Amino acid sequence: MKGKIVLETGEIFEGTIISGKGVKTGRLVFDTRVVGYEKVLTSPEYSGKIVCFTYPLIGNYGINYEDTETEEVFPSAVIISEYSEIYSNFRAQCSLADFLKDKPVSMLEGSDTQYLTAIIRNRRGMAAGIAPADIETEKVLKEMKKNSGIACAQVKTKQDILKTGRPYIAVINLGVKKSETAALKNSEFDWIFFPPGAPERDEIMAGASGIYVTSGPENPAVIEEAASVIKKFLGRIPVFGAGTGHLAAGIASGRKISGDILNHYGINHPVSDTKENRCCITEQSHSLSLEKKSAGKTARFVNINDDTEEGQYDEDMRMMSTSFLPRDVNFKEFFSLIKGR
Amino acid sequence: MPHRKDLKKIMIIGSGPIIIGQACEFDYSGSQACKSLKEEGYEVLLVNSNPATIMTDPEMAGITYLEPLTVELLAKIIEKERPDALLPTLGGQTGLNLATFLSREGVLEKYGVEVIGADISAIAMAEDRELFKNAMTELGIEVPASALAYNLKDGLEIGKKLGFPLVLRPAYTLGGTGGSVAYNIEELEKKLEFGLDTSPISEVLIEQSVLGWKEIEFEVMRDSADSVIMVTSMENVDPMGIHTGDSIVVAPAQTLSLREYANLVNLSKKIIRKIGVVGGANIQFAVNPEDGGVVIIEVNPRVSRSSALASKATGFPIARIATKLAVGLTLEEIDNQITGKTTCFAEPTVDYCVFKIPRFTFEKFPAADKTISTSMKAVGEAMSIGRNFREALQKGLRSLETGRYGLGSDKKDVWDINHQFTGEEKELIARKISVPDDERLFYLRYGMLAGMSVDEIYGLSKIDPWFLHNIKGIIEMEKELYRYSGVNALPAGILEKAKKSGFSDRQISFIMNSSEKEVREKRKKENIASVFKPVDSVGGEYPAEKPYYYSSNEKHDSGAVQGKKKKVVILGGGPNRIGQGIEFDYCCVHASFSLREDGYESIMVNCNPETVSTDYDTSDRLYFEPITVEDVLNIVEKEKPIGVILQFGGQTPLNLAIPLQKEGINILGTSPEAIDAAEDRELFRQLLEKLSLKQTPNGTATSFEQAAAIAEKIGYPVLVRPSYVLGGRAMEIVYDRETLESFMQKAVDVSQERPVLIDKFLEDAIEVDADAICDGEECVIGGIMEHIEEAGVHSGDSAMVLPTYSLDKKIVKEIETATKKLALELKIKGLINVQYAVKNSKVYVLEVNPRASRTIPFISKVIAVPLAKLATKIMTGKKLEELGFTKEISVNYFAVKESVFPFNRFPGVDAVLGPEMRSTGEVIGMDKTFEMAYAKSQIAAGQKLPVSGTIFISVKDKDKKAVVAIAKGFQDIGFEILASSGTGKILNENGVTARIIPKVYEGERPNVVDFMKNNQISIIINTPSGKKPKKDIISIRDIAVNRNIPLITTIPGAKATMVAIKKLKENKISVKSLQEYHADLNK
Repeated sequence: MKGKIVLETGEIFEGTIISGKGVKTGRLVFDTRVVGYEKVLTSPEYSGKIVCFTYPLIGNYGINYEDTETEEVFPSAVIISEYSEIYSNFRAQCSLADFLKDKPVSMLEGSDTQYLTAIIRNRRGMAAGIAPADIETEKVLKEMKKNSGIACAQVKTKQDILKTGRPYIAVINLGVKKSETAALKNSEFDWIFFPPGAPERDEIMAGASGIYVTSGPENPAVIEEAASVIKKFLGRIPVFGAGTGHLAAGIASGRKISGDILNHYGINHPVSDTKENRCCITEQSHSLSLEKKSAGKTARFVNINDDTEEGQYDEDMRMMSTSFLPRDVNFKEFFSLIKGR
Repeated sequence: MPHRKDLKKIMIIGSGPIIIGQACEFDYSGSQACKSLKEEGYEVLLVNSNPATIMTDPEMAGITYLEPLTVELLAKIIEKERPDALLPTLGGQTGLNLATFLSREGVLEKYGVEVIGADISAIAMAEDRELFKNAMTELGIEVPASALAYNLKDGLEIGKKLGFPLVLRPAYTLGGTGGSVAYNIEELEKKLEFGLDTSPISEVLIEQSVLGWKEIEFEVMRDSADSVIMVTSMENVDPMGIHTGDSIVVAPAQTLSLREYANLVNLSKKIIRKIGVVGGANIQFAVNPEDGGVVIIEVNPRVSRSSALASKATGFPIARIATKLAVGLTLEEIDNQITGKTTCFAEPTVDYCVFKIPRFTFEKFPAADKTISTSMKAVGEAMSIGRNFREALQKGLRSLETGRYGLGSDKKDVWDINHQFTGEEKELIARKISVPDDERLFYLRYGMLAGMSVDEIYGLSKIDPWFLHNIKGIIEMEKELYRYSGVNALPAGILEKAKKSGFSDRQISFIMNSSEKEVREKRKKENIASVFKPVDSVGGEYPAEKPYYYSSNEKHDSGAVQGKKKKVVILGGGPNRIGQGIEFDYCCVHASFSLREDGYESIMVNCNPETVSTDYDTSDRLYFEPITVEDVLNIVEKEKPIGVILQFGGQTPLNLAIPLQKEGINILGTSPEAIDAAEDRELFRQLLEKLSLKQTPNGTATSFEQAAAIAEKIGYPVLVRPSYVLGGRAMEIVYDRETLESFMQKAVDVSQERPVLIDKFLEDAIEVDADAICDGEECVIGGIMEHIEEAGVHSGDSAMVLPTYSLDKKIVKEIETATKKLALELKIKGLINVQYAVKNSKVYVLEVNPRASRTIPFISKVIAVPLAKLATKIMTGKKLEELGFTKEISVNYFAVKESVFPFNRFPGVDAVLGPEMRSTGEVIGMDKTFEMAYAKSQIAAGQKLPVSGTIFISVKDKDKKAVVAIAKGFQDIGFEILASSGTGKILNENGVTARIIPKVYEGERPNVVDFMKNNQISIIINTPSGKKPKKDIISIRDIAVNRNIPLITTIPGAKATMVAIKKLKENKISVKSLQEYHADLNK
């Protein structure tokens, strides 16, 4: 089906909709990864976003359900240069198009993603819509306004509890994904996952050895709520926030969210760890960051490319956070915070 | 960490001559290294024997030695120069091996030279099979089962134990030389014997084969703080079993899912940490397509051909960064100059698809086995960039310059699209798909046209179905185009779709039965135009200050910022091939430097990823594009330059002169008409007549009958050659009517619509090359070079010396005058090369090339004048007088240029010199005397000149008299003489004591081959007769090549070798830097 991309300015780009129905709106972001489209599609952070893939060939290796981050699909739409109907991989279970069938996401191919990326780069945080070509542009623009671009999904959180009698980590689940907590689940701790609004949350946290705040959609209300929960225990119980959890932890410690919108989406973001004096390549999926001027001595991780803050560390408060997908070493450090070294 | 202050002078070893497996990529990496080290304030000491490189320009390194790359001479240089450190990772395998040998001999320790980048133990861990296996096992990475064989018997046992098929890898050879795949015990026996012969230490690794697995490569970099980044992945379209240098490669990898990809990235990072390289490494994995099983194949602890490709494919300059890392900088301390904003601690990402397609030159070696396997045979490569697989593939095919303009429908197909395939043809196709040669890609297409399914083709080729389906997509598009007849009937939508799939105007015009111009006009009318997209290393995440560009059939142009300066476009030479290689790239690079010096904006167009010309900082702007009329016009229309320079890139751009001029494009320098006058035989004859210059009797023919008539008139032997070709393509000396008939067919084919030239061949004439520069009013000779080998050996293949060493002064003067006359008459603006033959004190003009010649870099270095740079300035309007070059330079030393041949790659090909060029590269030897300069050139070319031992002489009848004096000379300096019966008889009659040994066909043993195999012959003189050689003569030459026994096939070559060896016995060989030589010029 012929389709179009409508930017909030009214600019239009043509393409072909190969999956999805109706009008989809969201904040336009681009993602620079060459492999891993399945993760983008199933990561909650992409909720409320229209994702433009900079790599032009998408679908090459099909889909394997084991590789997805969650059971759901989050972006409201994805824009790609060319969809590969053919997929070839020994682990593939189906094609990307089959995977997307009946999912609430539109996929549009055939637009000049390189050009679009340059536009997004210059106008970050812009709202956009994807619609069949025959739908009036006005209507798409109206829809965009109505949702003011941000329509983050309410993440369904399944109960996930392991109690074997060991000390446990209280996990405030803002929209956790599979790859995020592998290190936690391989650790010597038990765990209890719960949504920030869970009625029994105070009780759970009071008995925990540490609090982990997960990544999730960039939903300000949810972030605020999580922050208020964390605040009560900050300084008493070690806290580790990652992704959106980093923002929540920041707010809990008195920081503010910056008005600058970033485009940190991809698996190649270079970050300098000023505490350990080393650099690492990180996977990121966020637009929001903490305001730099509100940083005290706790700022620790810095993006090498654009100098934005990517994480904090406060030994006194026993609090740490990373805006990127936490790596094993980050969890290790968290565990040693808990154990008091 | 800032760069190390304790080091002052750093030594770099270059990779020597261009050979198969080691080409311009090491000029690119070495040049980057020199620049990088100088930026950091170090003194650079460079040693390389290859004069055609940019890195050996006197201003690139502070101290440059154009000396042979041997341990002995490097030790002398180290003793003299006392460098603090040696950076061995930028000169290919040669550089790495020499560093290891220097360490083993204690030279580095003696003079306190630290090895930086990859230390000796790191090199050993990557290179020594046993150490490597242990290291990988420790990391839990599987290595294919293998064992070493030192003789046939053990080898066969090992083979039986491991199970077939098996891969054989001879030790200490380069680019897989002598390597092969054995499918059964019989093959193993044959191939193992060959492999043991090839290995200098008779060691062959026999390895379990993972044929048909995916071959995936990663480029990773590590700094001294142990930070590691991944630059890019690459996937070989041709699976395991074909040398990666011979494989079609795509970047990034297309068929790995994130999980496999992440696993391989992690392994790569572990491996580079384990090996301990500070800099870049190339890691090759084999991945089982059935279950994802991974084995490691190889690690190159250095900058490699693949890393050059990775650099060009991503815009991330690995060589530059590796150099800075080696002197202590960390990745985040190095700026990314392409974006101008980010640092090098970042993993590049791409928003396009890159192809590398190897370029073969089997047409030069008709007797060679065209099968491609584990021993590399490609002489060059082209890289193409597109927004999808199909576009990149078809652009890559037209970048190759093999006469193809895409995947089929370009007038070159064996079978057209509607062909009904017979069973026999289908069988042939299946065979060509399963046993690959240089045409496999096209046979995949024929297979599909013949109705084979993707599954079937996958079964035969093990090429991933993803690639095959994409290729099928191209054919489906092609079929769709065939539904329309004529450009006018072609709907715009279909045309646009075809362009998006990479179809060239040429292909579309063929299908539509119209002209290329009509297709172009139709596209313009329909607003279907190529746009330009950046290579920026960040996938568009950040704006780039200095990206380079590729064309694509997308909607929006993201092309260059238009500057205010006047622009000049330089057309490069495309992929390396025999006859057109690094020398031409050197000239293009100089043109760019010169233009920038003079305030022009230089714009380079080229598609060869190995070169300096395609480096991101060589020109103001770079277009990574095929050199065809369509692609060049797109660029010129966008950039609107004041003119285009095409006399530096060899024959490729020159062929575009007329078509571009027809489009109204200003060609800078010598006019296309003058180019034509020099190439067109009739115009050329008139020109010489007018100037009263002599030409050998000749004529032109378009058929055998005409040719035979001419030959009979002027008398055999005749030299037959097509016009408008480079490197003596299809050129041959013909002695009789019968050979002429068979040869004419080939020559007519190559020459296409242009006539074939028939010249009287002057036997035993001395050939001379003259290069000059001219501004249209004044002409200055750059150099007059005397060939060592007689006329009839291609000028690109013969050794030559500057200045002349045996010619009479009067003759040299005559040549000088003639060259100037020709240049002025043709109103040359730029460079001109004239070839002469001198016989009986008469000077004949053989040919005039109104362009940069292969010898320009060589001369420029010897006379210390950058001729290509000056020529560029002339093209943009300057005069020689302004440039201060009005007088010939006479040098008070000798420089010999010697050629290097790929015969060891092509067993069965006769290693004899002739009019068809077959050398891949060149070296230089410089010294006070001709003899020593010649000796150095031979050593640099890899001929180990023995100063004592046994020489075997067997020459054709005509040469028997002439060889007597040479044999005597050898005898006088203590050589024992062996000879064949005919030659031996004459020698013995003339006072030489020669022991006669039997030829193979004479039946007696031990024969000459036995002597060779028993290492009882240290040098061979064997001149071929004009007729077809006997089988056993070829086998003598074959064995000599394989066992690296110096083989001399001409009398003048033998004479020069004799005096050189005599000189080596008398004098110690000494070293002297280029800068010291140049200082002598002013004395």
